[in-house]
Amino acid sequence: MALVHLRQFCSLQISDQTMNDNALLDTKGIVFVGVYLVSLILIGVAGRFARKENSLSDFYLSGRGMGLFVLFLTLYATQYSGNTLIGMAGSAYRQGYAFLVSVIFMMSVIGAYLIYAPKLHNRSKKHGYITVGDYVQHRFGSPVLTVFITIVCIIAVGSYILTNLKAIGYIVEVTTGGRVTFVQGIIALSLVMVIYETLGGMRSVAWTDAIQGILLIAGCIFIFCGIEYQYGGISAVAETLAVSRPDLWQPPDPEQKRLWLSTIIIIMFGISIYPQAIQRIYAAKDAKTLRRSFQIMIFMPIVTTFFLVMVGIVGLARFPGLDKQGSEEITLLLLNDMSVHIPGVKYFIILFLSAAVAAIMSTVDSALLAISSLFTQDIYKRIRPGASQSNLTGTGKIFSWVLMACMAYFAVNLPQTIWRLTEIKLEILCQVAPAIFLGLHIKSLHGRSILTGLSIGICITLFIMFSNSIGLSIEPKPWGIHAGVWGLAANFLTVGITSIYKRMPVKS
Amino acid sequence: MTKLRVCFISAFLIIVSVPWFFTEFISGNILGFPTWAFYSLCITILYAIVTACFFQRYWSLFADNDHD
Repeated sequence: MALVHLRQFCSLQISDQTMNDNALLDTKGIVFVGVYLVSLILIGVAGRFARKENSLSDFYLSGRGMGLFVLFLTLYATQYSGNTLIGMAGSAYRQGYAFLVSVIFMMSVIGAYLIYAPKLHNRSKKHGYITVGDYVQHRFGSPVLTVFITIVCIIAVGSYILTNLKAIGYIVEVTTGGRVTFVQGIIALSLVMVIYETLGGMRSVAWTDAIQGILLIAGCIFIFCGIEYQYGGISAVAETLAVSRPDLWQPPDPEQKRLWLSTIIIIMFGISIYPQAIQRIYAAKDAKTLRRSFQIMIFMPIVTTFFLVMVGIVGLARFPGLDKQGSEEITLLLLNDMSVHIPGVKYFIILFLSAAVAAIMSTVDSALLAISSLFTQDIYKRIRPGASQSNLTGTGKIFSWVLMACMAYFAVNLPQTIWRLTEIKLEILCQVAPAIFLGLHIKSLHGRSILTGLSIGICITLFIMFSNSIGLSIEPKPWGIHAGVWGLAANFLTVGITSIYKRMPVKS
Repeated sequence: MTKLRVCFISAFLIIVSVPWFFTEFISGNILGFPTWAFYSLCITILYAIVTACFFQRYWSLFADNDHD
């Protein structure tokens, strides 16, 4: 993950001085972040007092009464992780204008919601769904398919938590100049997240997401306006780059264009069916609130992703020649450079780093809540069907603590080879898409078709991705297309063929 | 409009947002972007506007429980 390289940034920065001398956050900054973290726990307490009943619906879906302001911000904060703030500018630095693809791939996620969110929201209100497994069980009536999809979701979202926890550890260590170590950072922030999550459930998570979302938007807007003011407009930067990097004016070659489209497909089908996003579709107060949230969300990549791509491109003009590791810190380099000329920019740095921490926390807390609900509702409730609502809620809370402890342990100790598995989460998760996109709109679709398609899709994806490991010379992205997209194509095709086969009349 | 048409228009906009037709190097820029990047950005903004309108107009079409 992009944020991992911050560790190298730290070691580069401290080559001649002690870590403390190079802290990006001074004592005031650390106090600011500390106050922010304490406020998150207080919000958790407020969420606990706002509880209306001790039920799964109240705990995991905030009583299905989320209004426009909170719903929009929690959707926003959940969709954009810390990687958005730091990794995207670095990618834009390396890829140049070709990384503008990130703007449409984030928009396509919202476009995908139009296909399934209206109907899924209606059904969740009518049938009381809490997790994605509830929909799958109700729609297809297949316990095997439900458990299979639940396990795929838990693995995908679990790996998402792992990578984000590791990133947050590096950020804390780097920004405090080593005063708070990598391990201490992970443990402290994991504790804060699990405390407010178990205190107020979705209500606390959504409220904290609202604050984190505002920080994220403010961070993006401030840094974009700052670089526009300091380094001239986009046109001025383009004139510099036209001389120093004329290769950026060359359009992408055919393979890059196919990869561009493949990236849009994998992100559109992968991110749009994140269990935490589906929980928010269930939690919306009504259809109108949900629709308006999406109508605002569709424009958010312009003020988030596009701004950060421009940060990377301005960085390329200002600091040419950085390697991959160096380019990951381009946003911080620009902020440091600006703070030399504009004294007030040092506060931008605090805001930016707080926004990065907030972005990661909002992603992790939502994922944690999603996994907790998947385990409680789709696995534990099957084992103990007679369990009361308060027993289920209590089990979910205990599971959250156990899960967070395991995730924090793995984030610190997981061998590097295992980390390869965390990179494939979207390619695996997107295989669930036919169950949701087709299942909602095609009544005749059978659970067995979905199960067959899902199995074939996952097998093909894993085969392509790990073929090199077993000595086969298959490219990780054959013909410039992700393994997950090949798997998804086979998945859709299998679902189509088996559905047609089942519809054919049987000859006597 | 049917659900399929709405999906087709969305997919079409996503596909054409890739600068397929730009193969040659073109110097100069439009508002600070290479021509192909400016084209892609315009389609991206068009996609956002069209999708926002689709949400407004066709939400109930996709929410309909009776369609197969």
